[in-house]
Amino acid sequence: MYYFDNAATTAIKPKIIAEKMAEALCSGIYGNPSRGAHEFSLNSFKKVYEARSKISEFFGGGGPDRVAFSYNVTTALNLIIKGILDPKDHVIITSTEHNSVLRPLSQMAGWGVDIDVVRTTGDQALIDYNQLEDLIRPNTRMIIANHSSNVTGNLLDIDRIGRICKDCDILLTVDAAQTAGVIPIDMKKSHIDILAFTGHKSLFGPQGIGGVIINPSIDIYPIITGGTGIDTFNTHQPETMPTILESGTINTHGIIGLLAGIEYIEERGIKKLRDYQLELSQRFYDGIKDLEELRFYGDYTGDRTAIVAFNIGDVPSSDVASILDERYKIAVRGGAHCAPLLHEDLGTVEQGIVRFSFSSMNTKDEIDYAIKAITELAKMV
Amino acid sequence: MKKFGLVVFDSTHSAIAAETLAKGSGLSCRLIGTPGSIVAGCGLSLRFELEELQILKDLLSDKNIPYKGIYKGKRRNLQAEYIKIDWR
Repeated sequence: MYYFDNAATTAIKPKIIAEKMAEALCSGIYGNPSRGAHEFSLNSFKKVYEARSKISEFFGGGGPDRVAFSYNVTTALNLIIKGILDPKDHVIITSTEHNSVLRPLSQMAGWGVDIDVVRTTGDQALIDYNQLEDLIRPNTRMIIANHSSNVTGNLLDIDRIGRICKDCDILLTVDAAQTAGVIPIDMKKSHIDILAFTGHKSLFGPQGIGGVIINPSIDIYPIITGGTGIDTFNTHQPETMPTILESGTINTHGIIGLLAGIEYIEERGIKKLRDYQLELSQRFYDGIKDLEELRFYGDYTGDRTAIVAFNIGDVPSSDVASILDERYKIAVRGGAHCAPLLHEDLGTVEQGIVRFSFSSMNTKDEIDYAIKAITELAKMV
Repeated sequence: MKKFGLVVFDSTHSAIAAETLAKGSGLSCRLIGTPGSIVAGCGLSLRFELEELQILKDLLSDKNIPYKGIYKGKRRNLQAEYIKIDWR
């Protein structure tokens, strides 16, 4: 089995993550955080606080209390989009956005939020930042930027967008689904107001844990309310972060796994892990780039994540993915990638795109096997 | 030229329920990504042997598993064509 679908989730994790989670589950010492003051509850509360502190430090956030946990990045983005935007606000996005942004925004459009989209151009799927600036209006409240496209692997220039937002007093929300854990992110340096992340991809945590970091002074309305363990007799949700966004029992064991993932990355060095991933994806790209039957999507000369996206002739990408699975035991993603606007830009609504996405858990031998497989398939067109 | 059948579903849960049912009844089948030429977007379809078409249809009907349509497919190398043979 060869796993090259790491942009969907990292199926192969460093063993320490499972060990830390199993240790926590077997220990019998972790109660419900922030529910009671006994030792079990406090053990969880302290562990979760340790994770908040680590996450804030890892992303250059404004402190542990600014980190709220969620199920995943989609939930985090819903909390932000629906909790911050008001009718008549204007929002700018790019066509690289995932449905985790597009669908909540479509709902908000029904409530009177105006949306402008900067489209990509060419197979390289490049963004014109001047066009983004030209779209700014007096009522532009937020720019939502997909740090890296889950289809092409292209990185957006977050520093540049951050400067634009700062100059124009616009909130910058960054969707770091594809980059958290592999590209260093510093919210302060890049002028990011809100960062949404997921734990189960490059941070190597388990599925079901993600979160959002929100800078101080941003007002947010909680779209989910309920028990918080504090202020019981208040009929309204407490307004302090992170409690305002965390109703119900949070995923302590998932958070322990996520913390172990971040510690693993820090120990190995994020740059070293990234360099290795990029070496693998470059090796794969170099091994297949001269095959005439292949058409590539994305900019392979610029900053990027370890994704190689292409089609073979006019063969439906889902067929290629099925054949790779059945004949070569290679797991990749075909079809559409929950990024409908980018597929429109690239003209791949029907064909979809074959996406190989690598992680630092892959090996060079695996890459060479994948090159051989694609070379054989290209000859069959 | 390889010929096969394909059931396309509205929901991935129906697809998995159908595969579990069909495999449990000894049919030879496999879940694959729905070809974009049939439905653009993501989704799962169940590929099966055409000789087992009627048995599979009866199973789906007995257990009330909804599907969008059934297709006959033929593949030569990487190229595949689909013709719809049943509607729901």
